[in-house]
Amino acid sequence: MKRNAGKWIGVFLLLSLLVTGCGGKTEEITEKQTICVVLKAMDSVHWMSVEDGLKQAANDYGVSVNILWPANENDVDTQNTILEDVIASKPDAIAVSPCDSEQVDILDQAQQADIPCFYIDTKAKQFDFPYIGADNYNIGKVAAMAFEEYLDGGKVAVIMGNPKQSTHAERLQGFTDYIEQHTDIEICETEVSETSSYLESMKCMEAICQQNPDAQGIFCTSALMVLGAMQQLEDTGTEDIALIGVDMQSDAMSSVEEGKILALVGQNGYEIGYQTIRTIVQSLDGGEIEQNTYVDTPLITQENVAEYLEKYLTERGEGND
Amino acid sequence: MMKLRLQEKIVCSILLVSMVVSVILSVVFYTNSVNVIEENYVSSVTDKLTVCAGMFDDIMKEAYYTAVNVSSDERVQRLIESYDEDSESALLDVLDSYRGSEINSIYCYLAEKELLLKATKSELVAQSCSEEDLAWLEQVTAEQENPLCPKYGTDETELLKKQSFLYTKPIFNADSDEAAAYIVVNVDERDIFFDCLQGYGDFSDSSSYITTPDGRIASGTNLKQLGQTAPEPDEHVLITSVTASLSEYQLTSIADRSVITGDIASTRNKIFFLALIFNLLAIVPILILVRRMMRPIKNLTETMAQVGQGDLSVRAEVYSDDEISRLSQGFNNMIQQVEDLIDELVTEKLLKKEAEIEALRYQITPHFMYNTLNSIKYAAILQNSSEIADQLEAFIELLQMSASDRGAFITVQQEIRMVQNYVKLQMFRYANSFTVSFDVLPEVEDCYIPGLLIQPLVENAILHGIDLKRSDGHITVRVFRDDRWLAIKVEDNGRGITAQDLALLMSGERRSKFSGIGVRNVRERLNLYYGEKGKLEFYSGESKGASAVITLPISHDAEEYTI
Repeated sequence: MKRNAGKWIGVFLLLSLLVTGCGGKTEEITEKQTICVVLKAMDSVHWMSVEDGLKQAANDYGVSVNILWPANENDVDTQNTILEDVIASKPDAIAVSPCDSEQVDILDQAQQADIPCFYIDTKAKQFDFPYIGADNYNIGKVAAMAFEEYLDGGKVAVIMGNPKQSTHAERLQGFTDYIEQHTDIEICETEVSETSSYLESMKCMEAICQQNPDAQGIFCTSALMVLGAMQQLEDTGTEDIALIGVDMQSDAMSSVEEGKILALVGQNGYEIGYQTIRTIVQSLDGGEIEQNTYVDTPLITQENVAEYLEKYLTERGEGND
Repeated sequence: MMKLRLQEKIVCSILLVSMVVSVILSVVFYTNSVNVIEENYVSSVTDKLTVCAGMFDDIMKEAYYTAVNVSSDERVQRLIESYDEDSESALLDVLDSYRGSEINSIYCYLAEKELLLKATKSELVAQSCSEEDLAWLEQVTAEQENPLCPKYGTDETELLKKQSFLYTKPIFNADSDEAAAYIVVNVDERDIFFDCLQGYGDFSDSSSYITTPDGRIASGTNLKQLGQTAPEPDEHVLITSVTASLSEYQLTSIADRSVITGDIASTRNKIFFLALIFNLLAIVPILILVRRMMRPIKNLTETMAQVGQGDLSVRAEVYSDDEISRLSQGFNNMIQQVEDLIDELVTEKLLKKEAEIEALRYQITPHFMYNTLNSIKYAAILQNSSEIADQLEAFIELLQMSASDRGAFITVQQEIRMVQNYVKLQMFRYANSFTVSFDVLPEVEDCYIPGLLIQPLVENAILHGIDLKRSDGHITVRVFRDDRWLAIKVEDNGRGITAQDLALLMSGERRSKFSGIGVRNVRERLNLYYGEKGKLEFYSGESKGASAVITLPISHDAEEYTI
């Protein structure tokens, strides 16, 4: 009897193992949350870093992210068309970096469709959506403080990007406010580069050199533009003009290392992208988020550029691309 | 249940257990491996599909951008607004300029004029629309829920009916809400198939396809399946799906489970097979070991069989100090005890038998004798020889007494009566050359003693004690008691006993010539009935005479000591 019991236990064990072994198994496809991000362009290292950060965070947080952008930063209509389509596709959240901070009426549709919206990198005044990006006013202030330290009075000029984008306007505002309130420096000229492009900033630089040859420092509100200005100065062989730019990207940082650019106010695109997804996921999960999520905006000078460059290259693996 | 020896049972049990363990192990191993392999497979395929989905999305994104960019191109808008024959080629050129590598064709459908401008890979052409074309275009240009998700269908305007992914964007006139034209961007299904499914990743052991959000097959190996609903998969396949996030198309890979886990299944079978072989091989060492272990048991079994056949002298061999040895030891002890008991019993039985046979032998003669003697007694009476008659009567009575149930207990009174008869006869024989006196306490007369217990002692005293040649021989028979013991003393005033005779008497060797019922018989019977309690002792007098003393427990019940 006992032997029989043992046999039956054995048979039972085998059967149960076989049953569990052969049981049908289909992989569950969990519905990921979809976040659509509409950027301004994909024409600079900054935006590529942002995209990189977005994708990495999407991977880390298990959401799918669709990143779309118009051909360039000024293509407001195309961005609005894309936004319209994005809203129609009913994602779980939309993050937008408006090309024109004044023309974001389209986001009203998103609000009506109950799709939570977020600003990434650039704000618009029209809607009070949470913002993830750099504190642009502070960036201007940090740039101004750098000039305060480097120059003893004198004149500085500004090359600003598209004033429709709040980023450039805020940077200028922060810069101007600090210069006027705390220093003896005079802002002699503000050139506007409508396209925020490399070529246009070269032209702006040229204009400044003609109109205010005694300007000792130039503040450019983006990295692309500071590189353009630098190129112009190199082409004309002009020296003794200190350049300060914005954004953390390797080509600009290399120039800081070589001493061609005085300083950069860092704005880590990767971090902005990553924080955007993190904040949106937190918000979608019902967590409380800040109205403004700022990333660090450190001042990168020749002294500390090596550290940032090293960190930048290893973090992103940009060096391998 | 089969009849198996213990040895076989043990071997079978070991093999069974080891086989079960092997099977369970291999099954567990197989199940786990299959799970791990399937998980790895799914995760690797998921990775591949994710890459493919990314590529698919990128191509779709390009098509989408193309549609958006063409529709927002001012040149296009201008040309459409003021469309005439001349602007046809200009418009076609613009369209063609947007056609990237992945884009198969860009159409501009002028709804009002029912004209379709086509910039394809091979040609730039304007064609008027047939009814089928119009129906198709209406379908294609209808508003869709998710503009980021491409439409999918057969291009009806082409001669070759090809499947394609389409994005459509309307172009509005400045002064009208009606769409003046539609831009249709086509991506060929074959391009997608070779770029995304075939060109990338190794799906050789599986089939893969792309399905539209509503479950139709959009791209796959089998062209006949295109546009049809994806088949319901059965249980034998492993399905991995990844949804492209932008276009919401689904990339699915279907692999036959048996292909993925075939190797591991054959490993499992190999393990089964090896387990079987090794188990069979293991029979030999197991058998040897079990035999060795079983040797003491075998030995014990054999010993038991021998004992069962009656040979009590054999003993089981004790090897070590395990349970079997203790069992053997116990068995040996038991057999030893049995042997001792049997010895004792046999000896006792033999003794009794011998005594009884002896008694029987003596029973026969008296019967014949006292019949004869009775005749002689009556003859003596007839011849007025009363003395002889008296003698005969005493003799007959004596014979009758002794012939009656010899084993039985009789009272002291009866025994004394018999001894008196015997003495009467002996006195006659020896011409009254001795006297016998009896001193029996009245309270012992009803005590029971074995019959013929005193007579042999008296006989012994007459024959060997007193000097028959003289006439002053005297024998005293005394029976007395204390509270527990009865004593019978037969005393004579004869020659006494030599030390040698005393020793013989004590050992009971000496026999009476008259009857053979000797001292030995008395002693044996005492021993038989009373064991240690009954004793017969001889004493030699100081100058002359000797005495024999019997001590035995008092009994008032004839049956008390009967065996």
